[in-house]
Amino acid sequence: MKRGIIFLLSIAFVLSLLSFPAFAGKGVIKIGMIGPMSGPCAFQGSSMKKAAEMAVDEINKKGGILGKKIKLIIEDDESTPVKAVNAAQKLVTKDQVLAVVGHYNSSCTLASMEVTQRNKVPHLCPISVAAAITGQGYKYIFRNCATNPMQVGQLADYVTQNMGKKGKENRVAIIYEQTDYGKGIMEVFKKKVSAVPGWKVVAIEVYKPGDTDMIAQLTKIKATKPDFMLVGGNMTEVAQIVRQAKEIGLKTQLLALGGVSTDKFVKLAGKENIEGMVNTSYFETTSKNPLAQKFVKNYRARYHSDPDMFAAAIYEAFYILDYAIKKTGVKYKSIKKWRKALRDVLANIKDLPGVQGPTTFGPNGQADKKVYIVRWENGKRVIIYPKGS
Amino acid sequence: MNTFISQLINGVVLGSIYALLSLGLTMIFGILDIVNFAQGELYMLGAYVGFFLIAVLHINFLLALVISMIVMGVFGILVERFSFRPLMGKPHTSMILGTVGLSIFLMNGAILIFGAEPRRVGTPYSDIFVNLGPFSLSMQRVLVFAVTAALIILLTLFIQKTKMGKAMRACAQDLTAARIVGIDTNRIAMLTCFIGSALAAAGGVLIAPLFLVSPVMGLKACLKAFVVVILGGLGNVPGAIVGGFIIGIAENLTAGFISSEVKDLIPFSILILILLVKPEGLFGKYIPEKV
Repeated sequence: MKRGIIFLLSIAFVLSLLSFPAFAGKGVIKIGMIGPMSGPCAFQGSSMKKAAEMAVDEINKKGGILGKKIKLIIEDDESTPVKAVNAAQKLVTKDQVLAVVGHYNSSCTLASMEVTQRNKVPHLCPISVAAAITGQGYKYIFRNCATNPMQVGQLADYVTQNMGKKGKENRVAIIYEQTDYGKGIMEVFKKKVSAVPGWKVVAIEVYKPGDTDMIAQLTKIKATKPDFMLVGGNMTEVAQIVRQAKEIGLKTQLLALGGVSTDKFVKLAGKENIEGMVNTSYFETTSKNPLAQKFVKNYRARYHSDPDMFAAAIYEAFYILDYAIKKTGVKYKSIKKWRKALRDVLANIKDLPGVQGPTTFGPNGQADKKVYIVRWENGKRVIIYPKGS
Repeated sequence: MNTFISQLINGVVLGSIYALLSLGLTMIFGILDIVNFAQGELYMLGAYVGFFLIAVLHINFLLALVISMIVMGVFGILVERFSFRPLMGKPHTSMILGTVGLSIFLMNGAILIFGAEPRRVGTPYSDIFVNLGPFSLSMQRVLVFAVTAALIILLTLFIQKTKMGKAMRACAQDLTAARIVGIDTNRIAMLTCFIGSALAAAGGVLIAPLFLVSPVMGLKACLKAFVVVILGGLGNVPGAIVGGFIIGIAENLTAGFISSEVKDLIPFSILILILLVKPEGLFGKYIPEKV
């Protein structure tokens, strides 16, 4: 009896593997999104989910794309590359999605883009910033945000062109997180700043993620009398560093990167400690871009909170897909051909307006994006570059 | 020279916290013969109690410190009663698994209750600055050192001068003999855990306004406390105090004069060196394992 049941179950299992998945072309377009719905980055994951659901609802309310409704399938990667690969595998083979949007963590994107590339599925990467994602010549990956070197370079350009003292030596200190992310920041900033006449990097210090006491490094930096200090790391540690800098009486122009451009940062660092600090930002709710204004207004109405940069990036990615799928037309009988056609449209996108600014994909699938430069004034961020936005 | 003195001051402040954490660890080992891997979590919970009292109930910082020490002291007694006592006299592996389990339980419990994101505690002392010539340091840091010094003096007086202290020393020497002469060893074990846990809580509350409070803050701190305890000699109270300051100062001088990249390397190099050259620690006496 028992053997009979096992036999029947095995047959059922084999049949389920053989059964052909339903082709997406019957009335709905399936799009998969993968992000950290649980685990250490679940907070950011929830922003991604909210923005994706909002974008899909809006598109479907307008009648969908090419007369078909979008079906959004959300998967959880828990910020781990293994789960990311499994999720991508499920979306491309079992669900037969037309395109994948995803991941928060660069490590997850780097792992799952192997799956999307192998299966030739267009993959939009709106958040992960590691340079290697679009640096390997993969044909199916497209990123609609600035990479880490791009934002660091733009910050260095702004600072050296607008904030220096003319005719005097400008001394720069860098303190960074001892990870690939932090090291990348330090290297690009050091190279860019050192190349400008009158600018000199006088101190470079490191700390480890999770460190709480950076007084030793800051004391050393203070002795070099810097005019500027770049803090290259994540929000929690940057908050500690700016507070401890104040504590030991280290007075410099503080500089930081996109990760601190959130309201949570003010709470951790204390608004009096970050007054005048300048950092890059991927998205600001005060942006004058009409698409961004509309997005912020609708997001507030729907969720009663302000969208963050992750929500904005995901929202933009879905509208890039909306535009590109429309351009592919309906003539594709097989999902494989449709995916290929979608990739070709994406690769040729030029100056497509979006909530984060226009998107033009380069030959590697990397969009040429500009970041904002903001200054903290009384606990609020004020956009100082580009002017008038 | 100025940088040297500033780094020395930083080292003394950091060393105070290491000393507080290590004292509890070394006392619990000395009397109960248990290596408490959950010591860092007691420090973390102490910081959360302090956070609640200061940021939510707006109680004066020093009062909050005392309340937090008492609350965590009582918690220490519960830990002794329900976690350590069943482990006493059991093989070392069960003891290690028991306290590691307790550590994981407390940390994840804290994530569940307080959330994983770090919190900031503000006190008036972190905004007052003491200027000593070219050095500037916040009142909070001065307070860390002053309170630690006061607690160490009180603890030494208690251990050396009172009857209870004498009983504790007797238990540390030989638990069975102490029982024979009529000392209530269970009460001494409870007292030890009260003190050990209260000292860890004091460390947590003192450090909370300087750093951020988070459920995982105990992990790294506990690791350093182990280095300190081994350096000073397991179960040795003066050793834990001196060891704490040595590690704190060594870390800051390394970051200041060699490189911040090897800051964490030095304490652990010292650990390996001590284990190789003088495994009983700087202040410990070599005691052959009882058979």
